[in-house]
Amino acid sequence: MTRKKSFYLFIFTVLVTAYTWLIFIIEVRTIKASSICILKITTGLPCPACGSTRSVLHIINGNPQAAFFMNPLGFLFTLFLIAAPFLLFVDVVLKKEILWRFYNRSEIYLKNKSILTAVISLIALNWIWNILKGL
Amino acid sequence: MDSQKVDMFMLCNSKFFSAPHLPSIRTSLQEVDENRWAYLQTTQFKDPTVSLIVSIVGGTFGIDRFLIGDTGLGIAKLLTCGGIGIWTVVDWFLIMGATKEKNIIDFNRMVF
Repeated sequence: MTRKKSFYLFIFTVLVTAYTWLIFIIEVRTIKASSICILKITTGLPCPACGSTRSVLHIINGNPQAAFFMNPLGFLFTLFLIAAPFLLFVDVVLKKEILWRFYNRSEIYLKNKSILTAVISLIALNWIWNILKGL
Repeated sequence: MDSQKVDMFMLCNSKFFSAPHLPSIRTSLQEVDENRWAYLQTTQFKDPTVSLIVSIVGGTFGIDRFLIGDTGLGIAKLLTCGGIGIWTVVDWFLIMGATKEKNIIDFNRMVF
């Protein structure tokens, strides 16, 4: 399998898992602090992504302020959940390479040390905030 | 390239590449110019075993992906807490193959 094909398969799998998880959370159980995060279960500390499901749910319920204070990453994930299926459909049906090109371009940008440091610092800050919030 | 050097390279570096690639690596080395030997000798290939250990220890934070040079995927893994743990486990099985793939890309870049 070529790298491009595995990438698209990977995106498809991620989307299916993400939507299944979201539907499961909305339909089957109410959201609770107890999560499936391995880090949280083992150490009790939240990971950088802890609270993002709750954040996405706040956005769905039209409460962006609460979403931001829960975990700002929720906005990024919501954007991905909306844009990725659409782009995946366009790429597969119209035989384009929008997602693949976006991925390759971001890899090139992230090779830049200053950009990578900025991104990692933001994630680290968000993580510290998560720990302080006690998610 | 001299067959003795090719043999020496294969002996020292075969663990960095997947078995199906080894014959093509040997052929490439035999055809390549002698002056590439110095580059090839100094090239540090990534060890698949080290990636596996890093994946087991720090897979949740995507450190294994950062290590092999997949920065974008590393950040994605970090942001999703190791893909809610699923991606972490999947990568325990895939990371050695991914490392070998990266090594063959490095090798091709060096040779051609």
